[in-house]
Amino acid sequence: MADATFDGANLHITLPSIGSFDAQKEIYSAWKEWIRQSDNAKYPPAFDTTGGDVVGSGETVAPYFFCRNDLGWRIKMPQADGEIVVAGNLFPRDPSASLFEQTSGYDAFLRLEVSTRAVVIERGTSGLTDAEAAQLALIPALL
Amino acid sequence: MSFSYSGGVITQTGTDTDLSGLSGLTGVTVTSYSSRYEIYDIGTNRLDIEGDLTINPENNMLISNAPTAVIPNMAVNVRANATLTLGVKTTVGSAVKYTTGTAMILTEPGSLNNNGSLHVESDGTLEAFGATIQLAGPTRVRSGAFFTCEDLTLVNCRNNATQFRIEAMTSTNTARVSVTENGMTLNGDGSNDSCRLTTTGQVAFPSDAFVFNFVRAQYQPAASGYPPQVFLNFDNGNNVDSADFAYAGSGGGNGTTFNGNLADFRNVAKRLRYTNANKKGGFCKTTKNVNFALQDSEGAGLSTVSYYAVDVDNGSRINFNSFDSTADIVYSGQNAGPTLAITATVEFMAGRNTTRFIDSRTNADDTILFRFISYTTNITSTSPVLIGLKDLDAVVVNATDALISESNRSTVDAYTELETSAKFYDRAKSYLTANYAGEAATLVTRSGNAIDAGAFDIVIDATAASAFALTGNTITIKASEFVGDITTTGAITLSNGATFIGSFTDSIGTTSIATLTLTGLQANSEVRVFDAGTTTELAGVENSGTTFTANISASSVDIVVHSLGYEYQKIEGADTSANLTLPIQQRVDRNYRNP
Repeated sequence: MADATFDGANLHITLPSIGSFDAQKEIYSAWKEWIRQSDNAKYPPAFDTTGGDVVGSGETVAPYFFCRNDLGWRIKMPQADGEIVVAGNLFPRDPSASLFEQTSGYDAFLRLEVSTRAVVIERGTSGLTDAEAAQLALIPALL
Repeated sequence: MSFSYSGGVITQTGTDTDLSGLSGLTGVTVTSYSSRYEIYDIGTNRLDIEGDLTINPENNMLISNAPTAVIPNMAVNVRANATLTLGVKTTVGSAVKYTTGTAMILTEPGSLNNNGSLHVESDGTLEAFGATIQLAGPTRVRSGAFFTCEDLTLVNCRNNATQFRIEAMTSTNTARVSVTENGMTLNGDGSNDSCRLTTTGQVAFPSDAFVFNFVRAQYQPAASGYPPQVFLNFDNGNNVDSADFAYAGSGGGNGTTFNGNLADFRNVAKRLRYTNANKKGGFCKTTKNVNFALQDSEGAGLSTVSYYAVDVDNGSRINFNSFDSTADIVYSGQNAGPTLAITATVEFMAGRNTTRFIDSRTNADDTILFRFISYTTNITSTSPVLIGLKDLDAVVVNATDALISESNRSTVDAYTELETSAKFYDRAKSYLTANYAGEAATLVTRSGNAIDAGAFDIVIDATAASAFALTGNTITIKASEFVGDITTTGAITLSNGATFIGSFTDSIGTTSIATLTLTGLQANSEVRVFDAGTTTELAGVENSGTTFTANISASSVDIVVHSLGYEYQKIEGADTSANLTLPIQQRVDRNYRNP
């Protein structure tokens, strides 16, 4: 899918369409790319992250992405009707505040696919993406 | 040696060191006291001195009742090539003794301008080394006569007008006249009129010393004018006469207009009193020799001192008959010392007939304020009292300037940029020393790293033509980057790309600029610095090196350090009110995925 877009002035992270999104690649990493553009560094940070540390045996600590809703950032649904799947450990920094925001006039259903595993299997360059690995990690819970 | 008598005239020839040769001459009466003091009364005999005669008043006294008469045969005459010496000078080492006592009494009065009691012809010599002459008639020292006076008192002993008249007219002849050391005392106390010192020429006598002590006397130049004469150590302190200077003639032409000849009464005992001798003009001044000894706080002589004084305008400046004293007199100089001799003007007088103007150039307490500065010493001042006999010796202690950082002034003058407060102060001090005009304070002061520029406008110019310049109220210093604090009630301007690090306070307000340094950066990180709590970017770089430096004018900032391979980092509220160095540690971002 296309990367999320960022509106620093309004603190909006907009998902461009319905469908599946990889929180690590299409949201978090996209944010890091966005910061580098123009004078976007002046806006409050949209994310912080933890995890990813190698713990051996081809495993790493599962990555977690915390959206800085405490600073006002919100993830806004696309101007479309349908289902959105965000794969990855995406959490609000402030659990008591909302993270997602509907776009008026559209019905988008969001499904967060998070992992309960503390570690993930390191993939090779020809293996699974992080999102795919995260989805794979959900399988045991479904069985 | 001999004295001879003929027809009412006693003639001295050869050399006589006393008056014993008079004994036995017609009309001579000798009175002896003890074995060493004789009084020789020559009665009405005229005395002509054609040789060398010395009268020691501690051994001999001459009394003459000869009538005054006209030139060339007055009561006592010193003929051409003859010498009359009154008194004896004894020198032992640095000690000098002049004899005391009355050497001559010439009792008969005469016409003030025509007759004379004592007459010294041209090429005749009168010397005085400690003696008193009591006389009733005038003394005439003719032009061409030699007159050497180190100690002579002239007393008018009868109630009539008299004068001591020095008639030298040319420079050759005035050079034959010297009145030095204790000089001449004129005392008209026996008369109801002044004992006058009179000059008739207009050429100055040796001006370094022309010493008179007036007890009851006046200087009254002849109507033909007077020389620009310095009367050194003019002692009028006990002058009971009504005036010290009776002006008569402006110095030439029998006119009233100032011709440049200004009688100069120097080191006077008290302010002069003036009167007019006739209806012509007269001009004079009173001055004072002041010898400053310029020392540092350790007592060592200073030789690179600048000084400045301007005299006082008491609202009585004179512009009268071509004499103009309206301008200030400025005393200034550079690199003076360790001794500094100043002749300061105390007062001008200009008058004609009874119209008279007196222009005091001092404060009411007879002082003028002198200030001194050197590169290594503070401004100091002294206000010498300019009335009083003799030169005034004044020690001026110049305290060390503790704010100077570089003691070598040549080094300071060679600075091409003034990028620190220390250099700024030092260079400003050097400039002030070289261009001193009596300022009571240095151009700027310094406290540590802070410059107080008073009310000057300050321009920091990266491309200024010189390291320091003062034009009007603007100080321009050359610096690409000035580090330090500056305060002024004027304006501070940065020109041609100049920057500063520090705190500037001017009429607009305070601007603080500190250096923010980030170290330990991962190369190619993006660094952005924002005014704290805002999105106003103050500094930044797209791709840093391992160190980032910026000059920050905000007191606190937010710092964003961003690199794709490393976790986003934001430091909020960093204190940049002073220079700040932050070591940055960037964690590898293990969760970034390059799309």
